Amino acid sequence: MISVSLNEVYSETYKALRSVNIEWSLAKDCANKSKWLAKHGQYFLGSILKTADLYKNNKISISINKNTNKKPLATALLGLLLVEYVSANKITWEGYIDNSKFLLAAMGIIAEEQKINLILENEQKDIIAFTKDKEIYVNANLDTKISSYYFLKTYDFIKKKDIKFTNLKKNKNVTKLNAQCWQKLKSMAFETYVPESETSKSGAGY
Amino acid sequence: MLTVYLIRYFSIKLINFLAKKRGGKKSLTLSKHLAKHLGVGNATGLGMAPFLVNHQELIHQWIYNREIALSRVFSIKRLDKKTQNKIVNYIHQAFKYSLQWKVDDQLQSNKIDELSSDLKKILQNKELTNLLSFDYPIKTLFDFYKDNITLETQEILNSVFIEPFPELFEDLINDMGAKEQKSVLIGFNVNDILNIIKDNYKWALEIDTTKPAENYCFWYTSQTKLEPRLGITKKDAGIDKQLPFDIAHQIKKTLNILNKLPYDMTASEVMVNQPELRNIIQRIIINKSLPYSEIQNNLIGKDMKPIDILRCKLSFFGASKFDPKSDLWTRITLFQGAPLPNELWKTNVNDWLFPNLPNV
Repeated sequence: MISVSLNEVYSETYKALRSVNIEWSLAKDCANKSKWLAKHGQYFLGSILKTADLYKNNKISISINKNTNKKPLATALLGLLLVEYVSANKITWEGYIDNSKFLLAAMGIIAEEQKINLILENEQKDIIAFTKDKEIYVNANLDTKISSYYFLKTYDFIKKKDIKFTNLKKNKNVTKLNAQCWQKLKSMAFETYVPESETSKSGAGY
Repeated sequence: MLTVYLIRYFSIKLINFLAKKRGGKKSLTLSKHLAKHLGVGNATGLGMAPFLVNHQELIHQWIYNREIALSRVFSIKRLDKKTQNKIVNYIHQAFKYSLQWKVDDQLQSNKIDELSSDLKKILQNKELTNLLSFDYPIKTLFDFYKDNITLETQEILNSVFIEPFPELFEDLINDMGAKEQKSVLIGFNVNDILNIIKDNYKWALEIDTTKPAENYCFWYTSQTKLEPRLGITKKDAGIDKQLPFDIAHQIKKTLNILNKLPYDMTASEVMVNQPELRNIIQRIIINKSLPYSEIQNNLIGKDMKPIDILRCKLSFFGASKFDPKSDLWTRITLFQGAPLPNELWKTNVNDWLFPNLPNV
């Protein structure tokens, strides 16, 4: 395991995603969500590498309106856009997502910053997570890794249910990551760098 | 900055230590005045330039607080004699400082000569003290000269005006940070975004982004030093990996696209359909409430000088004796004239604006 700062998580993640030509803003969104997950003690690195790979091979969707079980929506990339869209348009979105973890991060970010109350339900209408008063509460019993069909909407009132929810709190500024996966991410990020030209060297402090 | 300050003091102690080692009883210690006149040098390259582009909220906060500070001193209705004399003394100090500010760069050297000339004229004006006796004296003084002095002189005078009134800015000192937003604020539609562009981005709309001169260079991160660099379009490789600093170009492209969309479509829906606009729409929304958050220039144009961006950022760190070595990097000095650690308990310890060496 290797210790990495949250700022490194951010900068290496967005560069790595840029190396596979993911749009700048989506790469930065993903980096912010990764940083949020790291800060809240959640794993994220393997999912980032997988997302990049699936994107390269056109096996995930980056369309909020077009996603299927075989080609679900990449929440690592579109999560923030999705929560903003649902909040701004006051609609219920439904569709297939690849990994609810990044959607939870997006919900957490928009709750902290804009105090939006959102609720995420699965196909059975079980509450996966909801945001309230700048915090996010996650259903402790459900597995967030399985790709599935979800509903996302704003809410005014939640029916009380006998479910245990975990409040995801910030607890880390430095995170420990799998060294091999981190090295892979950094090598992808390195592909976005350019060899210096002689012109750019002159007068740049050389 | 504390580390820099301590390194400065360590260097002074080291000089004295080495002198004693070499010269023994014949050695001298550096005089207090010379010791204080030593600053810490720094060389700054392009690395800082993208910082100002990438941290909109923070840059706005710095510039905004500066403007607030100036508006407060301009709003002072009367000055007592003591403060009037203080201001005149600071202008004297600034003049002497300008005479000792020597650089190799011809353009900057000319600017410093103009500065010296402007300050001399101000000091020779018999009406100087009279102007400071008027109501709103600082504003009166500034308005009297502003059309006849250079930008360099204006900024020196701004420093002079702020210096006598530290008690007016205690709240601003603790307000130099900013919380950066990761999500894009909801509640905006196409019409709102178009209005912000028309109100706040006139500078971008006036640039002819089709001209080769306005597409002259591109920013990238270098492989060797992992630092930002500037490449020349059509000459250097790497344009496919350029950083998105062509703000003016993005503004124009966004305007064209938004003009074809329904006015009541939410900005979020625009971004869902065209994620490539998200970066610039976010910048535009930030700029609505933070108007100092954009560098109002084409950052990939031929006439753009990165050195201006570097100097702006460095000035907020207290850097002085700006000494450009090219358009891409500069040397500066930090803490020249600052009190030494064993003086920090004294009164008037903060009075070290525009230090200069006597008899030079």
